[in-house]
Amino acid sequence: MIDFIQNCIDGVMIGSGYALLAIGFTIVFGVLRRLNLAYGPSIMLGAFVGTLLYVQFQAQILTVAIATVIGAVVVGMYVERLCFWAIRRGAAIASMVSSFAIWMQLEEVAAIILPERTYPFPALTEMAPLEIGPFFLRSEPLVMFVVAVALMAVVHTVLYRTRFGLAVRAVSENPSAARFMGIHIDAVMFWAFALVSAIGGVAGFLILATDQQVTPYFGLWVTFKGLIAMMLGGMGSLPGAILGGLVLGVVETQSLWYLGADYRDLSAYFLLFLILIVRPGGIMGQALPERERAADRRV
Amino acid sequence: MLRVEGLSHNFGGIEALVGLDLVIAERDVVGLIGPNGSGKTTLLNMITGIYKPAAGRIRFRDREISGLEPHEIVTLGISRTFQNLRIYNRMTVSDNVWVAQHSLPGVGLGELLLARADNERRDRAEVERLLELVGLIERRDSLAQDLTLPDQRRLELARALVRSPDLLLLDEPAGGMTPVETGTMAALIRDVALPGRACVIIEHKMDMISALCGRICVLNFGRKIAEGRPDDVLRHPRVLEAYLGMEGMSHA
Amino acid sequence: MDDYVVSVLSNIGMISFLALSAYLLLLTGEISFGQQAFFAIGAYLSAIATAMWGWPLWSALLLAAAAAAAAATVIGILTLRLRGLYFSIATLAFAEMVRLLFVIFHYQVVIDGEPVGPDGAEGFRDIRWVFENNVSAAEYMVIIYVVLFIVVALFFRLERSRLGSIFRMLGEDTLLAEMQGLNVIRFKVLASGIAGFIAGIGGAFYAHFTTYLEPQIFNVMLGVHGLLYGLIGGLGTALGPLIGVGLDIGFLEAIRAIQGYRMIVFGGLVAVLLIFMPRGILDEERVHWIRMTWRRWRNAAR
Repeated sequence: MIDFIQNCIDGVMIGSGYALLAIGFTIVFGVLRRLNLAYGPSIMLGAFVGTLLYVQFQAQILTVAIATVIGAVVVGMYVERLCFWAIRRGAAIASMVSSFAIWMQLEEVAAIILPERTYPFPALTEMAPLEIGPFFLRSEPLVMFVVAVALMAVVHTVLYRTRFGLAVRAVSENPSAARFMGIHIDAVMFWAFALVSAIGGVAGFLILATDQQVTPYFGLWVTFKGLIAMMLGGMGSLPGAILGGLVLGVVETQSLWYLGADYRDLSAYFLLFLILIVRPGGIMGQALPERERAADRRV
Repeated sequence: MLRVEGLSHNFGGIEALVGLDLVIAERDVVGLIGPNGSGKTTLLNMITGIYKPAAGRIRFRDREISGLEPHEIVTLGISRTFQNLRIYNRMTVSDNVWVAQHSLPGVGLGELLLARADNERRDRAEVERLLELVGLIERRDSLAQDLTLPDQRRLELARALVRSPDLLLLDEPAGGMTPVETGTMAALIRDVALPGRACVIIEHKMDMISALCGRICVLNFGRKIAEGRPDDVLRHPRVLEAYLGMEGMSHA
Repeated sequence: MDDYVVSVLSNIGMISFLALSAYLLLLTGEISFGQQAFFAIGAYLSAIATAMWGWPLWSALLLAAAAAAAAATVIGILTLRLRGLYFSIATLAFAEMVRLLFVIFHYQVVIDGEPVGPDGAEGFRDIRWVFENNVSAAEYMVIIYVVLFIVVALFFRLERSRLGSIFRMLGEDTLLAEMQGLNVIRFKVLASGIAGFIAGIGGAFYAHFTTYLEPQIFNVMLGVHGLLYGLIGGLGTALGPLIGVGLDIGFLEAIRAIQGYRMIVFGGLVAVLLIFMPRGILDEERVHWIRMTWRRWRNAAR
């Protein structure tokens, strides 16, 4: 029983990182109605910039963090301009495909910048783990959790208490109506993307600083975790993204403990597959929305 | 033949149809009019199975069809066209009609893969006949998306006629057309589509409706507010009131 | 013909099966990130059959492709009723599950004193049918292309048939197809099964070409490549995905200057191309134009 609860605690802490990633996917999907599959690799490249500074120039942790975020944002801009803005609104599939082409591209760039298998990443904190009764709270995940929650609060404030946030929500609901109200859609999409890239950069940084190492598989890994968490919670729902992230974290930790490393990722995918088949709307979504047949037009 | 009883449907709180009753006999030509959003297209969508009713029934030839899937309903003898025009843009005109033959009885999986030469010839001849009927035979090899709007609407009509349906549902067949084009379309419908079958026509063009339909049914906010002969209905106070202020009423 | 060229051409041939598999589903309007799973099933099962059970290549190939088709049909039934994006992610989840299952899959028999068989992440070595039967690299390449030619010819037949047009109808306007009496799910599942079969053939060829398999090969990147080939080569004809494969593995590979940067160039090329040709190089309109021009030219020549 103690193990189970300990795993839940650990899972929730790790899950907060996943939740941030899922929030990133959700906002892009809400505003652009498309999946940005180059999200993971762009975060990875940001992290690689940070790693470069750390390994070559012994940069401080804060510098690494800032570099990671800036790197992620810059690459995110590149992706946005090339894959989403440049492709006319109707061709949704083309945008998504473009984003996976760029995904491939970025993976290779990453392999070229940092060719080794794994690199060290600065640790988030040097504190000893906290002990609360029979439970341990490792300090790195704890710091990640705290920062993640703070960031979620910031995102919530931006989305619900600023004019920019209002514009983002308006565009997510109904782009044509938003345009008629004078909202500059292209600008909103651009800045939403920037915001999302920054969130991703922070999330990536937090996760890596907890693991203290970075590998070239990070990009793919981020994409999967973010996607799974988003779908678990319900695509398009922000509270869903958070819930999905936490659930994913817990499921992973539990299966790692009870089934072993080989089954950890397998459980995550199996859970995703199951949710999609049984309840595609996710935990927070509707069971199966009435098929929007009338709007069923292809590219 | 078609009997709609107490049909109701809503979209998340918005009542699209409320307790609608409608009876259509063989060879009836019924016009369906009403301001935008009054539920006309929704009714067609429900008859063809796209939406399942929240309440009420739809019976076609004494058979309950409200629970059936669209692809099953079509085989019973009901065909439709669409308000927003749905055709296969990237296929040729003749292919657009040809593909409507796929689900005809006698076309099994074997036929789908490797059609017998004489069947193929017969089917293609039928396609040609229909294209000739609507006046599109010259454009048979053009891509559907390259046609003018009136021609595209004719294509939709040809396609809807492939199965020789007993009930034809036309949703704004003259939508987007000029008065002259509308007149041509109305004549085409009268000569080619109406003979031998029942028809429901949704339109905003009153001259066309009066000319073609023996009976008009008026919807407003999902309810039937009038039904009867065109002359009577178009002078009905409630109908005029529903349309006041709306640009729906045009005498094209 | 030197070994390197034979190797590249063989690669093009084998990956073309994967590309055609993704293409068939794309025609019906579905983006599948998971065709590499059926490629993997084809690879592993055929290798098990030849290396461990002593089967000849042809029967192993058929068995593997049939198994892949069966798996694809089952998965299709489960997932094709989901809306587009959900379907795509479900295929992604499924493919990763398959890959991870191969990581924990151990099945070995002892042959001539040595253990042979898939050993989880350690891989599956010594798939030696090609050597044991004295098939040269060039001969193997020819075998691949003969089968590929047959598959492409079948695709061309499909295009002219009602079934082929049904697949395209589903991709263009699902609602309209339904309105014309077609049971959408049934046909999509059929497409999924056929696509699985094709991917399975490709995988079987792949296993016996490289003689070594490991789960890592069949990752999402492989699947994404398969999709990209059709989307960039064009969805108007089965030659489209082949052009995509040729462009990546053939053309770009040939440019020595960009050796280590092939994905960067290919990725960038795809992104730029998609801005101007969202449905690929040989899309339906272009193919139609070619067909009409050919017909006019032929009539004029009479």
